Amino acid sequence: MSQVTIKINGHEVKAEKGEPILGPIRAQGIDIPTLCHMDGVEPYGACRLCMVEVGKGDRAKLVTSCNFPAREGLEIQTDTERVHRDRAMLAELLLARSPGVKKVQELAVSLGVKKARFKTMEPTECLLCGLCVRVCNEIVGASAIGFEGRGVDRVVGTPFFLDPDACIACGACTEVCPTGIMQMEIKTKERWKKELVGNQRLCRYARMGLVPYKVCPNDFDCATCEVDQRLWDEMGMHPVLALAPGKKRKPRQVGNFVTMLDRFYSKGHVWVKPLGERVIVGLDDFAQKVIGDISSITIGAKPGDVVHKGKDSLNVACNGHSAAMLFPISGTIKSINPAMDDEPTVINEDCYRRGWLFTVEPTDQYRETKDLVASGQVEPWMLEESDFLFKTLSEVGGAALSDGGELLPNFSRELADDEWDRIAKRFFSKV
Amino acid sequence: MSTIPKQVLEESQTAGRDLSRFRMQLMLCSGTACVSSGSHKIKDALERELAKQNLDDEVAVVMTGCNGFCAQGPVMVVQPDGIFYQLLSDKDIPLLVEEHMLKGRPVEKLMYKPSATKTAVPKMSEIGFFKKQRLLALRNRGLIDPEKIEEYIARDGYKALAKVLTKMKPEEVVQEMIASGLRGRGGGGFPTGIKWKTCRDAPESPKYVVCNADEGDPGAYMDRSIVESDPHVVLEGMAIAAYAVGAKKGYVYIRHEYPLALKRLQKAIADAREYGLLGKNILDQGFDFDISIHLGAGAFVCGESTALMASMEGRVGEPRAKYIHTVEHGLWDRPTNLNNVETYANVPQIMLRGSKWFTSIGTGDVSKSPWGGSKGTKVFSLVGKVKNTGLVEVPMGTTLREIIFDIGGGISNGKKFKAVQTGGPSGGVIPESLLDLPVDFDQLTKVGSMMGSGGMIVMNEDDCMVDIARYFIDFLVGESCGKCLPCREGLRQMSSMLNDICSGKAEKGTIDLLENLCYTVRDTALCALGRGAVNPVLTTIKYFREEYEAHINKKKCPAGVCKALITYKIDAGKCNGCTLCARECPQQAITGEKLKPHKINTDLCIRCGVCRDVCNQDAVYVK
Repeated sequence: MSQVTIKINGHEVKAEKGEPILGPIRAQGIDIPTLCHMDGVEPYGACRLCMVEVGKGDRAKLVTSCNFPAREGLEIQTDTERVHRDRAMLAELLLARSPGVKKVQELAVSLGVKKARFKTMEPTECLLCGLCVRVCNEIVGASAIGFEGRGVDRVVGTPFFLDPDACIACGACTEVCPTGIMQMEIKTKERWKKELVGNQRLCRYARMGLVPYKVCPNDFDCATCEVDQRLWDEMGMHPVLALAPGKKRKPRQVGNFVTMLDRFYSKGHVWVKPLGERVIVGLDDFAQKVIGDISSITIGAKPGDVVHKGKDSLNVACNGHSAAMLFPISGTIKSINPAMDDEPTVINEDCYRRGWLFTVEPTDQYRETKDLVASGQVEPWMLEESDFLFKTLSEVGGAALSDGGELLPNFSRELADDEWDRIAKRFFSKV
Repeated sequence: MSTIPKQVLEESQTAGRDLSRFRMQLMLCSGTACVSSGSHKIKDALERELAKQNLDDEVAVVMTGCNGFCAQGPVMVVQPDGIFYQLLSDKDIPLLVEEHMLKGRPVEKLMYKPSATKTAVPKMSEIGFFKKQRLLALRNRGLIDPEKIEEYIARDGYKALAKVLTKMKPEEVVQEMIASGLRGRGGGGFPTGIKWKTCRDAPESPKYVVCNADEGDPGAYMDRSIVESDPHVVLEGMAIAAYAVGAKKGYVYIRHEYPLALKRLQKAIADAREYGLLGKNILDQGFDFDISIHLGAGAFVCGESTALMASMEGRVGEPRAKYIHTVEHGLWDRPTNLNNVETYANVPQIMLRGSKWFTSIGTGDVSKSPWGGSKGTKVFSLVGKVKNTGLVEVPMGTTLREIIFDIGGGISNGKKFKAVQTGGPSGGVIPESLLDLPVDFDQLTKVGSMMGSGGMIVMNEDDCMVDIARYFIDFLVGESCGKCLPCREGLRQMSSMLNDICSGKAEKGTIDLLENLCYTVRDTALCALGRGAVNPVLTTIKYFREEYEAHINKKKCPAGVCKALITYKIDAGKCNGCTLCARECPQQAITGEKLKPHKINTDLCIRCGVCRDVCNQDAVYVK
């Protein structure tokens, strides 16, 4: 990241290139009202209250400061007539939507709005700022709630308004709601109390994968739980918000390769991601880059077949070579990505999402994933593999293949068959 | 061109020979409008009748794409003479085949007769509707069978792709595009060449090209017609764009409500693959490119670029801020070049005939910057209260008057022109005083409207401008995704205010509040749906303020449209007591004795207007 100079109301200020300008503006002590913004959550740009003017003269335009990227020489005005007029009008619209919400009333007063000239049609307390939805998705990683309907019928809800299996009852949504109206329906917890026995009664931190294994000692009443209270005290905030398990789902660059921390990796560079009762399987970024543009992929099993970890293999063809990769988990194949037939290069484009290979119903997921690489081990392992790769490459093909520490795309094309076989065996024929 | 594979050349020549074997070709329109008015029935009747007269070896029936003159459908052009037949029904066919195809005497009663002269115009090229048009994007309409790739190739199809792949570097293609001054036909009017350059220069890969065929404006069907009448031109344009920006994969995002267009597109892609014009190593030039279709589910907002891409990724179709452009971070966060159907349809011709030729058509000067003018042609769907409704393609700079009166034939039913709305729901309403405005991107924006995708709705004296604004805002309230506050709440309040005005409940000051709200929504809405939504309201207030005032101050609707503000009356002098209206009235609100003037009970009347429609004496009027 490089630094750029921007001008805020005429004052020159340094900012990181590409960083949203809201931060630098607020750092100047300028008050910018926001509703849908929260530090640590991706900017959303829905409430439009943080509008400021950028550019000069005829080319001046209003932009949302929460997501407008800083660039060299950018001129920002936060105090123009247009900004004030539009903010006040937005506050009026909010006041017409939710006249009873204290946060809105305060906002309106601070922007000089005494009364909305608009009609209140169906008063509601939800402002649709989307913080609950985004926190559940990005920070918690549960994606249990979302928006339903569109336009004026838009509401926050669970899928089909049913009890979501994905909800871990963490309460982060109620914690971040600016109006305080977000209520967690505790039906899920009631069901757990009735249905779950013994070691199925997992603590919510175990459900999130933050602790390896812990049974709830307090009948799912987190509000009075000592474990929960201790975490609150240690972190000074809602533990889920502080620990942010959902952030692990973001791709992380490790050396030359991208990794995702929300899944397991076999040592042969096949990833396994649990998803309910099934797991999804795919190739990792290391495999994709080393193999190059994939021309075909033969999985060697069809839905309904039983496969065995470390025994059965799938065959990947590319640049005139092929590699046999071992199954990282045992179970019954449930489905195969239809894209593998006609466009296997989707693996090269997006190996962690669209480029998945197949799903499996595992026979013993817990035991079999124990010896796969996961969470904290991923980064050091990937660095090790990277070093090992460069070492191997310099043995087989000389430094020409690796241009100053950067991998050349499709370098496998340049390799002779025996050189390639050595690499394939060394990196992919293991679990 | 020697680089087109031999087999392709041979087959396309065979196709040409195929048709030349016949002494006469009947180009029967099979666009959606003509199909729904029965062109398949006519095809059956024609084939039956031709077989009966033993003419099936001499006369060919060709199902073409949309001809454009939809008002007169089903239409058919007899080639090589260019005789135009209209409003055909299967009953006319025996006579037509016997007279014209067998005896060589064109049938006058099936020809087009302009209402002014009432004399038949036999030749298509002499009909006013076609005379002033200039076909670029639609150049193959009505001339080829859209389901036969050979016929497209025979009309110089894929020649531009061959030229580009063999003789031009990708940079040269981009430069040629910038020099042509072509601007996006989907609504924004952004220079296509600059978009391609930014996409080409973006460091990430892979790159994608996407074609936006999610046309959703009420009354607009330009893109549908292009895909239905000439699907290969879109594929060729996309392939050239892919070569220019460095993409290997393309997607067409098309609405599922366009079944015929979809079918033809699927066939076109399959045929192009078979001929090696899509897929690996196209024309042996080492260029790989393939196209997949993505079906839209019908949300209007998904025509917006970022919402379209979100929808393709399997997420909710909602726009995001475009401070980071989709040409740099688009589909799956990769550089993505998105153009509209009509934009792609212009590309092959530009590459084949050069940017110089293209810049000779249109307005302004684009030699310094593509923003300097509007070049080429634009397809409009001319609908509303105009005689010749249909699709028209005219050079940029043609005036509204020429389009509406010369091509469109003027206002139907002898009424008076009042206004024209251009650019779909987000476009503005343009009054009579601006009829001589040359139509191009900048002129339309200047008067508060926009080019949009090319919808053109003509309105006459019977249209209430407040009601028109209300209609479009209500449409957009239903189509807003609801993400950002000004669009969701602002449009809802606008709709409420406009409905109040139309029902006579609005108070003084409503117009000012409405205007101020419009300014804020235009400034602050997230995407073009919300920002453009204010155009119909602001322009109707600007040009027809007195109509708003009449609704509010006098509680009157001058055009006689807003039901709460009008009463139906019967003119006792004209009424002959035929009882027709009394029998048709759904409320039994009309009473009177036979052969004596009738009366309407205004308390019972729901102002449906049936009485006025059925009255033979013109005795019912609106007050």
